[in-house]
This record gives sequence, structure tokens and C-alpha cells, in this order.
Amino acid sequence: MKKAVFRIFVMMLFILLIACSEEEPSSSEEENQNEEASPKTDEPADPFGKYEDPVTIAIGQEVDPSDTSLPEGDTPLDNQYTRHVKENLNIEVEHAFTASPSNYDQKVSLAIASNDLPDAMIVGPVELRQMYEADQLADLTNVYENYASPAIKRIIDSTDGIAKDTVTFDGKMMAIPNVQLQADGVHLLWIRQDWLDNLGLDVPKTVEEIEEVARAFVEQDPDGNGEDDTIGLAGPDTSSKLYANFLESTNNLYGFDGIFSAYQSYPGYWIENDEGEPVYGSILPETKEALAKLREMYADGLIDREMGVREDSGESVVSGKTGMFFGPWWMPYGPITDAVTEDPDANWQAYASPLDDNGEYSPHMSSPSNNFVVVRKGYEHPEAAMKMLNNLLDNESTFDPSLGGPGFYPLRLVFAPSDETEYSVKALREVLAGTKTPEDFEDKPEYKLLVSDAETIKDVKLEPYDDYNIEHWDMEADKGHWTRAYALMVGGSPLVDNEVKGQYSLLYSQTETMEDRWVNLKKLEDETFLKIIMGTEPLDTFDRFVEDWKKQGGDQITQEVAEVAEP
Amino acid sequence: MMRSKSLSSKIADVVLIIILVSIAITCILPLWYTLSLSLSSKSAAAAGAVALWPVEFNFSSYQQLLQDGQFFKSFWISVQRVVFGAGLNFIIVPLMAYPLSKTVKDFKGRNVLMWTLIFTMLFNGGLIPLYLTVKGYGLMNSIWALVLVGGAQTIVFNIILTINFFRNLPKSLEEAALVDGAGPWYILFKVFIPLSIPVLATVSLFSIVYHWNEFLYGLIFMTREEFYPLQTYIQQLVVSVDPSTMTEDQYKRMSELSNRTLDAAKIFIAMIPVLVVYPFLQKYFIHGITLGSVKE
Repeated sequence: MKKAVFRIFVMMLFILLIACSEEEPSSSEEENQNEEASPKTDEPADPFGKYEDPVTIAIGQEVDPSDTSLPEGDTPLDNQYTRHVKENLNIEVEHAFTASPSNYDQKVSLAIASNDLPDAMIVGPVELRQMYEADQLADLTNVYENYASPAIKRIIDSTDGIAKDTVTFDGKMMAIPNVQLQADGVHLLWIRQDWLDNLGLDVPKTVEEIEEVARAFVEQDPDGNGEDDTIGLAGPDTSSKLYANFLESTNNLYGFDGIFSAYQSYPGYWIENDEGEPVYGSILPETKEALAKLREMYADGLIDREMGVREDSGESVVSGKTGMFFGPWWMPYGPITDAVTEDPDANWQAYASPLDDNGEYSPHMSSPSNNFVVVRKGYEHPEAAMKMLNNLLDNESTFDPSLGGPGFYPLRLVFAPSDETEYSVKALREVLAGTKTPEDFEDKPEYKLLVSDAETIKDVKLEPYDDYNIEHWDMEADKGHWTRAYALMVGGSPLVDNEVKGQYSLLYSQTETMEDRWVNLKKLEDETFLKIIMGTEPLDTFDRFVEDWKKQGGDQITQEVAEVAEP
Repeated sequence: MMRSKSLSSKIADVVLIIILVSIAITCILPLWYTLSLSLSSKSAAAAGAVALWPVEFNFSSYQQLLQDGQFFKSFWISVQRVVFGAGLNFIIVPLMAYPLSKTVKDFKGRNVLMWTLIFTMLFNGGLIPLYLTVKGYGLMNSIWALVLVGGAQTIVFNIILTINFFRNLPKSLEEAALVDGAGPWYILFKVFIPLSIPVLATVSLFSIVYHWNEFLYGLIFMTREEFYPLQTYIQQLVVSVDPSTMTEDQYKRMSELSNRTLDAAKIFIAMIPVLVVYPFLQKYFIHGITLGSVKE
């Protein structure tokens, strides 16, 4: 028996050796393949130029399995968008892989880890860094210079270089960044105005007032159904976070972003301390203060008891159980439309609240870019990806979304002027006041929906035009336009009417050490904070967390952030 | 049966029954809830109003389901996978288990083989090497990636179970056959296999359930939805998506498309095949797994 075991052991060793030694030649082969690809210089750079010979590009694409908007006979590979790309640019799109939105990131990680890459795909900041470190990316500096359309350059430049910085590594531009709305990163307080009115309460302006209102919502039966079934403040569900962070800085639904900012605490963000050095917001005393307050509110039953385990916190908004939550301006695109359908009196209003000690509204602000088009190193036509983006922005308004949603455009990145929401609110107010007409905005093509918004707003908004309460709206007239108009006027107005003293993160991408350590540090942070709020750990666990965080790589990462953030 | 029972043992019975019934209920509730959800109206499901009974009872999600081509495509792929996977399992298991049930005296290489098998059970190369291997064999987007990779990883356990069962069969049966001039093939097919129906039914059931329920390999080895087996197809519908990288129109689209009643109907239909197979094999199942476990 012993002999047999020994023999097997030796055999296993051999197998291991063989497996390891085979690794070597294959990796050097890859290197040969990955020769530096530079855009062909023999043809003049034309951002919209059509190729003479067809060029194929194999991409990774997100395809939503429940999206049935494609007409009969069309497929994710053959639809109005791909045909448009083929006709205008002579680019043939192929799929290296497709995946649903829930699995796309996993497929991308698999492609990166196995070095089995599509020619181009869309990735997030984490994957971008990984791919750069693994030397998998084509340098797009020249491509961007020579091939990006003036419109795209204008939009990217409008972010004061933040968008470009996010994709620049060692002075080289390694990806094309998207540009999204600033407003997506500000998490307003949404509140049931009708409940406030029922109970004779004022709009809360501070955390203490929010606490009082939440208590009243929980204890005084604001919906008048005689049952004790209401939630004061909603909490995050399984797909959202306690607060948005520097890697995912937008659209955190039902988090506590507002509460933290009111304490001038910016967990998940890299900010400057009094000495001007970068620090991580989650380890500062302000964060402990905010956590203490949240813990108290949770213990008092003012925050949803089922936070963190609910599959969708929007459910209780729709069913009229929730009185307050934090979310971006576009929440009517989410549960609010359904909530109003269920109960036409549900008067959801948004406020730039709570304010901090200085009486200012100081939310954290988002990165303008969180999605990036990357091109595989060694792909012969890196400019093809850029041309497809040019083509998209130039023609986006001419596509008919009923023949296939915009998500079917290959390599679709969003390029929106970052002030689109605020600008639209101001414009629509002027239209409502009668001082401007929809035609006045026809010279602003980058605000893609503005003219149509201006033309339709009076269909859904009833007089008086400056009162946004629910009884002065007509949802039945046109639900689609109602949703957008309500989102802009109710959700966008607080951003226009208040001075927003936003706090930016020093950095919206990963550094080198983060690649190995961040997942664990983030997990430590999330778990500790959740336990503190829910009361399963004492508040002073926070101090131990700070020490652990620093020891487990936090200090080193802070050092790196300081180097990167150095102007 | 007229056994008189003491009070304490009656109490014990009641307690046991309560415990068993509550365990049974916790098993059935999720199924029941899924069924209720699938028969409720869309808006009630979105508002989370459905508990134990369907709200606004209707069959519209099942009607919608009938028009979903991909669901039936995936269903068919899963059926093929189960047929090939369980079939292969049924052929290979006895063929390997029979020689391996012999002692080293009868079969010299037995221990080396056995340890090799067990080694693969305990250690594996991980996902990325597996992916590269399958890609290297050119099996991407092929049903055989699902049948072979999944099958190879579960077959060892089935073989071990069958070996133990074979070893418990009376030695004299084999000896008698040998005396009558039967060769190993004849013994295996005419003596061992007919006597081993319980264990073979058991391992087949394991294999069927495994191939039907496994979703990860479908996700990894198939690059397009049209090749997904059923559980992979369902997984991508029910996993929730982080909205932080979406724009408002994408989110709106997603919430308009999300249809919990339809998802519940799909889950319920996907459950039925295994639910149907189970009772037929169950009697062997209990018998088989206990018989293999006791050694003389």
C-alpha cells in the first residue's frame, strides 16, 4: 500500500511538472502576437470615414434576455444598429461573447483572466486597471487624437479633464471614457409630501428633523389605514450599497448617502484632510458619528428593519409603505411611476436635504465616467471602435427605439453633457412660463431630448406651472412623457434651486495595490458598517476597523493615492 | 397494532411529528410561493403583495411563456444534456466500478487507478484552466462541454458508491458463475448489473438532477444565449443587477422588462421534470444509498 501511494505521488509530481513546463512557450507566443498596433498612417484620419474593405470587429456585448424589442427576424447581431454601422463605416460586427447584464462582468473577468479577449468591449474602472496591468490594452492616445469626432471631444473636454484622467495611465490613453450626468451622483431625499401634510409636519432640513419625521411616519399611521405597517426611511437592498463609493459613484438607490454627507462624512471617497493630504473617508471620525446616528435610528425602528436583505427596496415604495428614501433625480423612472399608478395621491417630492452643520447641502459628487471602451492589444483597427462611437453620437436621435432598444448598438457608450438635467429644468421652466418656445432649443443638439421635452411638457403638467405637487400633473395623458417630466421638474429642481457644495473624490479609479487588496478591504468595511448600524457589533468596533484597514494595506494604498492625486 | 404507549412516548411522537411537518413545510413553501407568484398579477408581484395565495389570479404569465422561443430552446438543450450525461454515466459507472471492486490481488493497477480518481475529486485546476482546456479542445458552445466536463466531475462519487455496492454482493455468486465458465463480461452483465438496479438507479438520479440543475458551466462555456441550458437561462433572469453603472433610461427599461410573475412561471416549469422523475426512482434511491454504506 505504502509503495502504491508513493508511486502515485511521484506520478502526480510528474503531471504537475509537465503542466507547468507547457505554460512557458505558450506565454511567449502570446507576446509575439501582441505586437504594438498603431493606427495605419497611410490613410488620412477621418472620424467618419468608411473603410474600403470590410473590417470585422469581434466584441463582447451585453444583451438583455428579456428585451424583446427587436422586430421579427432581427438578432443582436443583425439589427438597425449593426446595419447602420456596416453601411456607414463598412465595419462588420461579430460577437466574441454576449451576456446578460447580470453576468456581463463575470464574462469580462473570465476573458481577462484567460487572456481570451474580444477585439473591443466595454469595461468598468476595476477591469480597466487589471487589463492595463496585464498589458492587454491597445494604446488609444493617437486614435483619440486623430479619430474622435469633435462632438465627442467637446463632451469629454467638458469634464475638466476628469474623464480623460480616469483612462490615462503613465501618460497614455488606454480607453475611451463615457460621460454621464453629474446629477446621477447626487442622492436627494425623496419624501411622501402627502404624509407630511397629513401629520402637519414640515420638510426636514437636518438629520435630527429627518429622525423626527421618520418617527412620526412609523408611529402616527401617516397613511391612515389604521395599521402599524409603515417604514420611516428605506434602507439599501441586496443590489445597492450603504453609500456610493469612488469606483461606483452614481445611482445608489435607497442608500444613506444623504445622512453621511450631512455629517461631512464621505465614506468610500478619497478626500483631502486639513493638511491637504489624501485620506479615505470611511476611516474618519465624521463617519463614526454618522454611523452612530444611523445605529440609533435603526435601533429605534426608524429605518427599514429588513434593510440589506430585501431583494428590492422599491417594492415598499410602490406599495405605499415607505415614507422617505435617498435616490437620484430620476427615481420616477424607477418605482415612483408605479407608486403613483397604484395610489394617485402618493405625492413624492425631492429635496436637497439634509443640510450639514454650516447649513449647506454638500453631497458627494460622481465621476463623469464609469464605463470604458477598450481595445485588445494587437487588434489591427483600433480606430474602428472610435469610429463606431462617433457614428453613434452623430446619429443617436435618428434611431427608432421601438425597432430595438439602444442597448443593441455595438459598443454603446453614453455621451451626455454633464449638466443635462439642470439645463433641461431651467429650459422647461422658461417654456412653462411662456418666455421661450421649444424652437428656441433647436440649436442645442447635444441636449438630445430637450426639444421633445419642451414640446410635450404642457400635456402632462397642469397649471399652476410652478407647483410640482402631484395633483397638478396629469399622468394619464402620456405616461412616458409624464415620467421624464416629473423626474426633471421634481427631481431636477432641487439641484437648480439649491447651492450644491459638492465633494469630489480625489480619484475614481484603482491603484496598483488596490488590485490585490481592495476586494478584502471593501468587504471588511461593508460588513463592519452594516453590523454597526444593525447593532450586532458595538460602535467602537469602528476603531478596530480603522486599525485593521490601515494594517491590511490601507496605508500603502493611501500612499499610492497621494502619488496619483499629486497635481 | 395494539401497542399501549406510555404518555411520555406519546408526547415524543407529537413533538417528532411537529418537527418533521415543519421541516416538510419549509421545503414546500418556496415551491408554493413560486407557484403563487406565477399565478398573480404583475403589479401585485412588483409591489411584493403576494404571500401564500395568488393575488388577482390569472394565467397570463403561462400564456406569455408559451411565446418565449429561447425558453424552449434552452429546455431542449437541458433535455439533451440530461439524456447524454445520464446515459454516459450509466454506461461508464458499472464498467469502471466492476474492475475497481476487485482486490489488488486480482487487479494489480487497482490502487493506482483508484487514487488517481480520488485525487481528481479532491483537487482541481480551477475555473480558468478548465476554461482554457475546454477552449483548447474546441468544445466552446458545444453540448459536449456540458456533458463531459460536468459528467467527469461527478462520476467519481458515483463510481465509489457503486464499488461499495458491488463489494457487498455475495462472493459465492461470482464464484458459481466462474465455475460455470462465465467470463468477466458475462458476470458483469448477467450477474452484477441485474442485482445492482438500486444503486444504478441512484447514481442515475444523481446524474440527472446534477445535469438538470447545473448552471455555471453553461454560463462559462457558452458564449451566446442561444446555447444556454435551461438553468443558466433562468439564472440570468433572476439575478439582480447593480444600477450604479446604468443610465436612467436603462434602469427604466430594465424595470419595465422585469417580470417576476413570468420568471416565477419559468422557474416552476423548469422544476417539473425533476419533480416527475423523482418519485419513480425514489424507492431505489433510499435502498441504494444505504445498501452501499454497510460493509461486511
